[in-house]
Amino acid sequence: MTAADTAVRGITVGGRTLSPGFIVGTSILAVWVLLALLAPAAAPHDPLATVSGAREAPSPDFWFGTDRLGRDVFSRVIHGARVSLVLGFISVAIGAVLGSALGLVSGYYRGAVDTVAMRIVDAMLAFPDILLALVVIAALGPSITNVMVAVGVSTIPRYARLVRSSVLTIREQDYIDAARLVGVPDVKIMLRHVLPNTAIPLLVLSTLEFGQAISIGAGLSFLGLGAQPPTPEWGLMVAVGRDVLGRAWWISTFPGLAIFTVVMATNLLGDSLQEMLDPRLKSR
Amino acid sequence: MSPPVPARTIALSLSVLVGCGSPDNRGEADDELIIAWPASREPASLDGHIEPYQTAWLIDYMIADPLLIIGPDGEFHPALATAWSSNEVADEWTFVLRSGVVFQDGTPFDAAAVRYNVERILDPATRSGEMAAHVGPVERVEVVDDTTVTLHYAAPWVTVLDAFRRVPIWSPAAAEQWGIEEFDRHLVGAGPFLLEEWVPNDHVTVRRWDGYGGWNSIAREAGPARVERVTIRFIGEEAVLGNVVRTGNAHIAMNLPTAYIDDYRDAEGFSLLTGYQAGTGLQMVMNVRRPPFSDLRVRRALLYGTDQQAINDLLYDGHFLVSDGPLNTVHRCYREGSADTYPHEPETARRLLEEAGYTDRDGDGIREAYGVPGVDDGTPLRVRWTILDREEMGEAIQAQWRPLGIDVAIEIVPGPVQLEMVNARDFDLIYERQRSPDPMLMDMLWNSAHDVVGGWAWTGFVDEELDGMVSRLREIPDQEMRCELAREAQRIIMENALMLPTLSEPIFYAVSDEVLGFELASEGQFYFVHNVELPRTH
Repeated sequence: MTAADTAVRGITVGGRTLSPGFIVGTSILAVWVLLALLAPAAAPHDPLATVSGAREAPSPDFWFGTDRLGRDVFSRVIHGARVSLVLGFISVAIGAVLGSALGLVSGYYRGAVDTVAMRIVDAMLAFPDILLALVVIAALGPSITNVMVAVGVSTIPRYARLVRSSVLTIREQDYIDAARLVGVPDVKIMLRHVLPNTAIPLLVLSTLEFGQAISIGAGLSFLGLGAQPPTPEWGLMVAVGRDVLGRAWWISTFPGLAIFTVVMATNLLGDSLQEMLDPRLKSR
Repeated sequence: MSPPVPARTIALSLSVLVGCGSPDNRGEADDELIIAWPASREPASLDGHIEPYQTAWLIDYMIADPLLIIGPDGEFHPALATAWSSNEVADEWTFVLRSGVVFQDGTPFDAAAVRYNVERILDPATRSGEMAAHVGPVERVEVVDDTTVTLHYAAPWVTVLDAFRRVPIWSPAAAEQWGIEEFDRHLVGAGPFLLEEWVPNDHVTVRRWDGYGGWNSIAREAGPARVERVTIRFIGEEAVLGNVVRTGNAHIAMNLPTAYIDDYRDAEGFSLLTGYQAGTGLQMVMNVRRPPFSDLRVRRALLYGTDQQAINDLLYDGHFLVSDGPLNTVHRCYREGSADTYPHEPETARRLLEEAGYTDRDGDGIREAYGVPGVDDGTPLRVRWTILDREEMGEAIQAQWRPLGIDVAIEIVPGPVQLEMVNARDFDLIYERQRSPDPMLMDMLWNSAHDVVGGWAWTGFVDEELDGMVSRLREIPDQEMRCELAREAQRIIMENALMLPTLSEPIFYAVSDEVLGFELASEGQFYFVHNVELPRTH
């Protein structure tokens, strides 16, 4: 295999070929996770403190410049990673747990339960994610916590659909019939034998939803419905800088790039995982 | 032939949105003056009898001349009234009206029309937001003859002229025809322009009235205005507002953001006008009815802990004026020495907060209440900062107060929501601004008699001395004596730390050199378009 082949096909580790997308996506995400974890040490300044004049251009002292209050944009972007990554994680967790539970019960029991649950899911799918999230925010009020709930709720239908479709296949397997015959309770069958077999598609979907959640969360904060000042949140930072984009481009651009890189990384990772873990795609 | 208005509107909107228009973009709008306003300045109603915000009155100025105006020289000048006088105690005011004037619908303008307008404002059914407070306790409007009307007051009311320079005089016939709810879409006055359309969140357009006789003394000629149309376009994005004149999509930008001032200052083809506004400045009124601001020490701590000049320098490049009391520094009744009352002393602020029972025991940087009456122990010291716009000022305050251990939550609300919150007394610090060169606004804002639903005294503070003092501002005609009273009232207000003075915002206008005859009034928020010409489009 030539170096060029390696670049195209990726690196083989333990018998598995890691695609370039996987490597790039994982690397970018790893950097952001590290920055988020080490934010207090990595950020040169307090993200909430005025450390210089307003709207100072990027310089050796302030790599990403300063914002309208003279706060260091670099420090705020790093601290913003904490907010955005936590937002993505919790939103995905909410959607995955509730959506999977709904899909599991629906697919396992079928009948009326399935019909009612799927019509609710259909109704939710009829709304774009951002609209659904807006409805939730309107009901709960603007805050970063409520954004997590709103974004999480908006992802429930996709998890429910995905898990249900997997469960419909799994429940017909012989080992499920065998478990029923020996009297294993339904809850145990679902949790021990059905759910684990949906893990791979769940993992792929969660990876993709993670980036999507960060993107929607940033969008809500941009609209003033998410994180509130002075929280260093990327969407809010983009919003604050948009009025002076022509003369202080750095205020919006760097947090915008942060959103871009994280979402791109999760998409690359999600696609790569799908290719690696889905036997149908792998055989192509 | 020019395209119909909607087509022009769409074309203009698109070019504003993309921000890449050229000066020729206005070419299709034949003789149409376009003025860009920040969207936040759009009033909820165009009827100045109802709407409390000055921008409604500014729009009304184009459609309806008032009885008199304050000119660019700061003096009262005739408009629909040619003369006025009062008796010695100032509880009877007589206006001599201009004869031969008709409203835009043909209704004659006379003393009965003035009486109708006054009675309409004072009628509770009109739900006048502020104008009724300005017009005052009129007992009776006497129509002496067709061109003479006398207002009889229940008490001396020395601010009549300042009130009536604001009041648009509407056609009684039109007002009756459309009723309170609908009239603001069908305004009919005796001003230079007819209301053509109002598309909320987008624009207001007025069209020249050829029957106008130049009755306002600001008008240089006894005849119709020179421009065919005036469109006020509401712009939501600061960046667009800042560039809208440079890109040729408007002739004038009102409330130009300070970040764009340098683009127009000394720039070829443009001029930058600055209008100062006597009044309160951007003050934040404190709700003293409940903790934490029921404690004078907490209120004073905020004043000691705030550095307004730093905020001005940081956010507005020093272009705003720093306020230090209830009347701003350009007001003729401003109290010298207010600046020394609360110098920026963060340590004093911290000490006062400790004395008031607010301590940071959990080490999170925000103080908690311990032993504060009416507050559960451990409750964080969190205050709500409620404003209509200028979020950045709230953020700067957040940054200054956090080291003191105060957590600030910024609430940005539209005007009607603000008034709802005030009526429910549900606020901590709330934005309130009044503009007037007359000190009577001290009575409006600080007399506890006006602490009622729909009133403008919001703080909840009751003090007989202060109430008596500001009440007299309505009664004493001598201007210097009134200023002395106002200054004394300012002292009491500041001693009791009832409000946080912040900054006074001059109004910056970017004006294209294509515009001739655009005149600012003596108050920065007001301007006149009676004499505007657009020679290039002829």
